[in-house]
Amino acid sequence: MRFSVSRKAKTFDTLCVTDGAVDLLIRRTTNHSYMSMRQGLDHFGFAVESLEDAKRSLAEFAASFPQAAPKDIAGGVFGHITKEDMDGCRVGQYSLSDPDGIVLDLSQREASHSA
Amino acid sequence: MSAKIRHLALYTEHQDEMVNFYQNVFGMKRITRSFNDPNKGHISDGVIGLAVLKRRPSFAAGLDHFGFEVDDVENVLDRMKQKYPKTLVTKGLEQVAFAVFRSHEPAGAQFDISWKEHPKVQEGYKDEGWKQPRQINHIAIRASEPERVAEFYHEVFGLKEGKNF
Repeated sequence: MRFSVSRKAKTFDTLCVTDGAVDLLIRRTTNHSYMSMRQGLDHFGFAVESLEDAKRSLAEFAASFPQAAPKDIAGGVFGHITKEDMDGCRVGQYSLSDPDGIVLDLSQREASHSA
Repeated sequence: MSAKIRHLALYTEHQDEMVNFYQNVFGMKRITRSFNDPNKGHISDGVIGLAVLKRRPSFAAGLDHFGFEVDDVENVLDRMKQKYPKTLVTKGLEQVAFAVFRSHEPAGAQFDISWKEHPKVQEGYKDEGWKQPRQINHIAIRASEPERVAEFYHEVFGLKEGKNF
């Protein structure tokens, strides 16, 4: 594998390497936002059995523990930019933040890979 | 050579709330006991142990590092030394689960390197893990030259080319 010499690879904004279970997505930095200009760890994501069920779990958690409710990433001055940036992840289908503001995303597990 | 991503760590001022969130929403379970508090420790989705660490001075809140379990650490360190001689490697702190060595890649993301036989690999990290409905499936890194970073993980850890987008 030679990403560095592949002309095609240079056109990709995201490359992926994998250990077979977990993917490392390597996203090209951009000047779209402060977040996307910074090199290093960006976010992580979960495969879930059902996006709708996961969203329901998030809502139930927020109702039970309002002080720890996940934050709305689209809120505030930078929120829409952060959301656009997370929407650019080629795997995640629904982005959110944890109670501390760490961004993560969810993607629905393919049926053939159901746990 | 085999390398698996088995670890992810973050710093927070709100450890209990964060652990509660990941356990409740994603079904993560505790797999280690902290050396200074048996009621705390890493939680896992069956594959990746998540360390929810209390933020200390000089450490920013947020994602901090991730980690590989390897089967041949000498091979990994040799590859780094030969192909990436400017890469820094240091020993992990004593008493900290999983972290035997710490290093970094060309974009600056830091990772631990560990192996099952080492005494610091404790409790749940020794197990094969389990499957559950909600599991971490990707970790994203930003890099000005993604090609160099992908090459690094391939050359050093033998990660395979995944789907390119």
